[in-house]
Amino acid sequence: MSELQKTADMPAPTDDQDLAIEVKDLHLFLPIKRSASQVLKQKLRNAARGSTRVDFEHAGVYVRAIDGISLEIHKGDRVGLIGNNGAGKSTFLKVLAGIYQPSSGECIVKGSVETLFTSKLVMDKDASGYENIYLMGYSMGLGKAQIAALEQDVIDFADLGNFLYLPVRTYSAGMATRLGFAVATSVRPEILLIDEVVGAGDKDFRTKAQNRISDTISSSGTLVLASHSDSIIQNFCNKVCWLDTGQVRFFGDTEEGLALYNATPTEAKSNVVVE
Amino acid sequence: MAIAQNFSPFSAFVDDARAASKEVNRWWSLSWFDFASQYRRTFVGAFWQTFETLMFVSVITLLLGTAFGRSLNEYAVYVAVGVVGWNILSNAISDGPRVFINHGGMIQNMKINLLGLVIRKVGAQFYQFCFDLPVALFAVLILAPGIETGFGAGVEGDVQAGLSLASLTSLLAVVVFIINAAWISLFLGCVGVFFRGLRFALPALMRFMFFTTPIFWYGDRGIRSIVATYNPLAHFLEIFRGPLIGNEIDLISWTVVGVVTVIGWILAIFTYLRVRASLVFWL
Repeated sequence: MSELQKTADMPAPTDDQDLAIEVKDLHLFLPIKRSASQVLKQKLRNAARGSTRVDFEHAGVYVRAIDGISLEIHKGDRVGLIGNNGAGKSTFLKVLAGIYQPSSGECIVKGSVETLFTSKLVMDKDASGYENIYLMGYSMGLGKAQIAALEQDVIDFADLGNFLYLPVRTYSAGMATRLGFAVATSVRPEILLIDEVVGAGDKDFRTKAQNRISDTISSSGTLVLASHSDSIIQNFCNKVCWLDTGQVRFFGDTEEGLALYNATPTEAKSNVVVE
Repeated sequence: MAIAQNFSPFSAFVDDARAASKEVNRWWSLSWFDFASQYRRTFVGAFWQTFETLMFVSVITLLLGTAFGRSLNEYAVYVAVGVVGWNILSNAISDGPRVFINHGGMIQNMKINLLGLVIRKVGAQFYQFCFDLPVALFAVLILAPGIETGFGAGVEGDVQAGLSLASLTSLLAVVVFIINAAWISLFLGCVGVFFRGLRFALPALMRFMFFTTPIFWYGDRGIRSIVATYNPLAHFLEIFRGPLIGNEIDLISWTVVGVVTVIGWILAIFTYLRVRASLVFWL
């Protein structure tokens, strides 16, 4: 822990070798879903009336989901993202993961990234747990040999016994979560991005899951974790980043950040702006 | 207001394509999974596909049999090979708009190469073709030799229904179909996310096209030959079917197919670069 503390307290180093994630003046506008078919319909209606007002490019409404975030995350940092619903935590994680491309600004991520946003995304209910290990592995971008190497680790962690060879539809929700979680955390990335899922499952599983994540990040390093649970943040993170309406409200020491966040009355935390 | 709706540079396509080609094995494993999992918990598994096509061909043959002045055998071969070829084209177009929609959750939750999903889709369509193929092979190997003489293969040197050296161009046609299925999936996949009605419009269109393409009728005279000439799908079908039913290799058809392939790929790449960054927001 002292090693980590040192990293956290260090002033920004002059060389960039130490940086895992570098975000510069990041902006992201999310289009509010409005189908292009509707736009087309409106266009045709306008055309029939003799006006052609709708511009396909800018038709619709946008949310300013990320509004000028700049921050640097060093290798070995474990950053907790806190903030109200709609503050931009998940969106920010998705930009870091490369799922969303910034509208403007820069987001440089150095190293292999693995995401843990939802744990049973690609499962096939009719396939056995064993087959699903491969299905999920392939979907995550692993090759057959890589999955074979991870297989035993996954089986041990998921601890499903003979259920492993039964279709996933026979599993309880918790068992399916365990399997999904086991696969998702079986690889050891350099940067791990987690959104809320640690809290799932029964108490035993929660402890086990937290241990596994500790294990993963102790071997790899950088973690960015969004959570509403103070205890999870305190357990895992040496820094917090408080997001509010897509902007950084606080970035620094965990205890200080959580104290500040919890002390701020709800009215002082603004809501999402739709424009 | 800068919105991620601008064109991605062409190099983005090249990079994505290179990355996807390195992972072809992984995507094809998923293709097989997609295809095979449809038939889970059934007795004959994927051979239901074969059975379905066989039924379809048999019904058309028995219903229309000699209506076009050909022997039953000849007509059966014509329809069987035609339907098998048609299924590749029809699937590519009908399924196209679903390529990205069906994997919305994945695209939104992990960094994924969209071109990989196209490979995955085309792979599943290829497997379906593989299970259609027995019907065409049965027609070409068993039924076709009976057409003229009744005793197996015809006179040497004659262009003849059944397997011959010219049949190799049918193999080439399958490769060309796959190359086309890829751009169709990419293009329609991109457009289908924005225009959600395409998922329903295209299967309806393909039902119409089934009747306006010479699959169970011959495009040899009158208005039928005009329809067959101006329907690009007829040319696609011809390069696959022709060599197997004893037609000569048709240069016009190959030209049409070549032009469509090139224009289609340009269109698909253009569309892909246009929506690459913003597609995820619309799922």
